[in-house]
Amino acid sequence: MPRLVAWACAAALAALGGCSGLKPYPNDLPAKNLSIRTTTSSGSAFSSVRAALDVYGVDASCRTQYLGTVELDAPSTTVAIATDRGSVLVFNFMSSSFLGGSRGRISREMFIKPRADQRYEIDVTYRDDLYDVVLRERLPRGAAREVALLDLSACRQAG
Amino acid sequence: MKRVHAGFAALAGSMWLQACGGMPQTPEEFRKAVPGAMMTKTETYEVNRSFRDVASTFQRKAPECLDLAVRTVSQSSTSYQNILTQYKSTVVAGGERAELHLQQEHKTGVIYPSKPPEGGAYIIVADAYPQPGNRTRMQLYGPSMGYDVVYRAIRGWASGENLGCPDMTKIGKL
Repeated sequence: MPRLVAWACAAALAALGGCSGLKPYPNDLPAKNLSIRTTTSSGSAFSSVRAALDVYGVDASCRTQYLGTVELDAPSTTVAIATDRGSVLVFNFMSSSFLGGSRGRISREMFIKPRADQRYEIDVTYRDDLYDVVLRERLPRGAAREVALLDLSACRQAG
Repeated sequence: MKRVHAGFAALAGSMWLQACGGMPQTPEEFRKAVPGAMMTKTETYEVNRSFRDVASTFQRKAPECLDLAVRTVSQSSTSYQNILTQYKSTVVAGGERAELHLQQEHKTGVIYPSKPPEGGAYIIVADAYPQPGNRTRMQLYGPSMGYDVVYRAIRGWASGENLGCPDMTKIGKL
């Protein structure tokens, strides 16, 4: 009986996961080459906002495959992104209001093909209904340089 | 993949200008129509930043932040609305003035009483003018309610103090 209950729970969880389509990003590559600093504030006691990152792998034909989601619920998060291919990172900001029950989601997408020896920093900000995603690469002497965000068309142009 | 979903949101449209005569078909017609229309405003301020920098920021941020679609779904016990709204920005930068136009087109769920211009109804026009001392004067035309988040974003881009994008799902929230 306990085994049956466990199976039923697993099936229910799998169904729920299947319904939402979301899964945790494995984040199991050895080099955590991406540091993400997250700041979110809805600006109101009656609403909230949270951020999450969807990671997509990009193949040689510039097709994307969803790999998983990282909840950006801590001020700092480290993520390992493959260096042997491109990735699309989609930063989602989900806001909700306790008054009137409104919900919204807005996204910012970027294409990145990290260099193997390079570390990157991303500042993710949502404050007072304004959002921003800033990418910097960490230079060898410790300085950081801002890098313009690219979208998936950069993959096609490179190909 | 630049998408927006809004669960429940109030619809703030461009109907306030349509009510009195036809809909403005150009930014210049919009500038002339706003001062006499209901629920509209004009706003003027100066920023301590060069005209060239303001214009280049508009050229960079407007397409990045404003060219997107928002889906608004609202439901009550007696009604259901599902509206897809496309926003389109245009920046025209000249030596005397840099213009940022924001157009709004409801793709579904809204019937226009008169023909909107190509790209949708003009909803906000923001003009930047060079001023002495490397300053820039901003003149904005648009709705008096519901678009505060866009006005704040434009002010941040003009001043250079905040380059964030407006959360367009907040349009219509008072």
